Amino acid sequence: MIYLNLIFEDDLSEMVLTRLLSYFDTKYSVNVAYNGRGFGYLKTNIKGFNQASLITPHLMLTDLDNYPCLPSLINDWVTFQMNPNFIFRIAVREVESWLLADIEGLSNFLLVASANFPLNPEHEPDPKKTLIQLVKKSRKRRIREDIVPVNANATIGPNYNGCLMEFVFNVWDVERAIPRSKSLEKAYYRLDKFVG
Amino acid sequence: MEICHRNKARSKRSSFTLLTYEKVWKGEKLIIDRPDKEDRKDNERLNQTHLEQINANKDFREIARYLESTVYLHLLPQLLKHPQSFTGPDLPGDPFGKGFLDRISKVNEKTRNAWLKRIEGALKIAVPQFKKFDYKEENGRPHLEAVYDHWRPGAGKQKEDQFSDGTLRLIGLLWSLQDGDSLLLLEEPELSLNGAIISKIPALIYKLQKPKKRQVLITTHSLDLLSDKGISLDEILLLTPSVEGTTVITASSIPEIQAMLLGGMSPAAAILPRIKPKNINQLTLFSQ
Repeated sequence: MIYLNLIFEDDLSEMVLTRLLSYFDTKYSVNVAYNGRGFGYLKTNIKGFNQASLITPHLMLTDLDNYPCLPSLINDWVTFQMNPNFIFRIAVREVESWLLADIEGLSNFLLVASANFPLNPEHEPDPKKTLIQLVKKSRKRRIREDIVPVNANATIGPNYNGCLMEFVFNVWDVERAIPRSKSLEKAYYRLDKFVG
Repeated sequence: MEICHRNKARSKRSSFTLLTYEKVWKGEKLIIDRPDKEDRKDNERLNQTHLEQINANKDFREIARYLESTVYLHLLPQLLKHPQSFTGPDLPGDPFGKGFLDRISKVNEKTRNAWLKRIEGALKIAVPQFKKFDYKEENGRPHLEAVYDHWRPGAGKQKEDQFSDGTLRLIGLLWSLQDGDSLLLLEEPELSLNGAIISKIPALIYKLQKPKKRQVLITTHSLDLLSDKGISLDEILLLTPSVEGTTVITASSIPEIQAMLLGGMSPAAAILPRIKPKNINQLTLFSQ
């Protein structure tokens, strides 16, 4: 068993990582989970986590967000020699696109017709917004109230993370999502090959 | 010296703390080793340590004296503002600051003024519009009075019962750091304070205790407080509750944390996420 420390931007990403790791049965066990509450903590401390990977393997997941491409983020963040036990993964453009990639699962959970879903979620410039637009069409009132912002002065709904975490925990199927998301596929295979 | 207690319910109604063992060494020599013969004869004796009894602690009273002189402060602003509303016997050592103003009044005038002056200097920086700070006695009762900048001259005067909780806690913190030189225990000094002020607390404590070489022990959950990179990992103790009780380890004994600091992380960034409840994430998930 490999003891991993996780570093991520928010609760939803943590749930996504936990779910992803569960696909490898007992290969991984999470030791400490570092919730950065935004990318700032991750970017500031990435060198420290890389250093700590000498002792325990670390897995960091961040969103690409507004960086034009993967190398631009990596060049900006990684100014040191990356330790082989430091697994650094980037979701293009946000972890939400990994959820959107499981069209069948998400369409069932949200009660939104699958025809409304983008076929290439990684091409969505703002997956969070795409997801919220989709939820507006939901036939389930509770889900609409949870995820859609109450007004223009909020960016997400009052239980956005909670509701989507419920989806990830109970429904999200990584194998169904992989064909539509290159960054998820790469993360999956990196974890598959990783030997610690 | 080592003492170990364990809680044991004696009857359904009450519970007592029973002594498991008590050992005292003088140099290399073990001078107290309990439970002893007498204890085995009379179980009732295990309710008390030798440390707390003058008859029994003659040979190591120094330790008892030292522990007695410990000051614990967890100032509750409401108690300080309205002491008359909280009747009942006062607690020994006044841990919650009910008699804080009396404590100020008992210090001789010259020292008091010097200490208050120093607090005034700090408050001028930390509290918006704060201008002046005075100690006054009215009808024999001690009071603190602050003058704030106000567009109407003379309207900016406030007494301690109008101070904000944060101002009072900051006054309490700064006073207790100056008063006395015994071990000082502070409970969460970050409460009610703005993050920018909290981040200065470690340096403040250092500066005020340094001339006296005083030991200060604080508890905290604060990211701002622990972000100070001047705090050594040896100075941070992690308390982790587990089935077998709370374990205490120094942060420096965890190699991962040491490596993280080497990579430029602050103690807060490296340590705080480790001590959150393990499944806290599910709090939002399962309350539906």
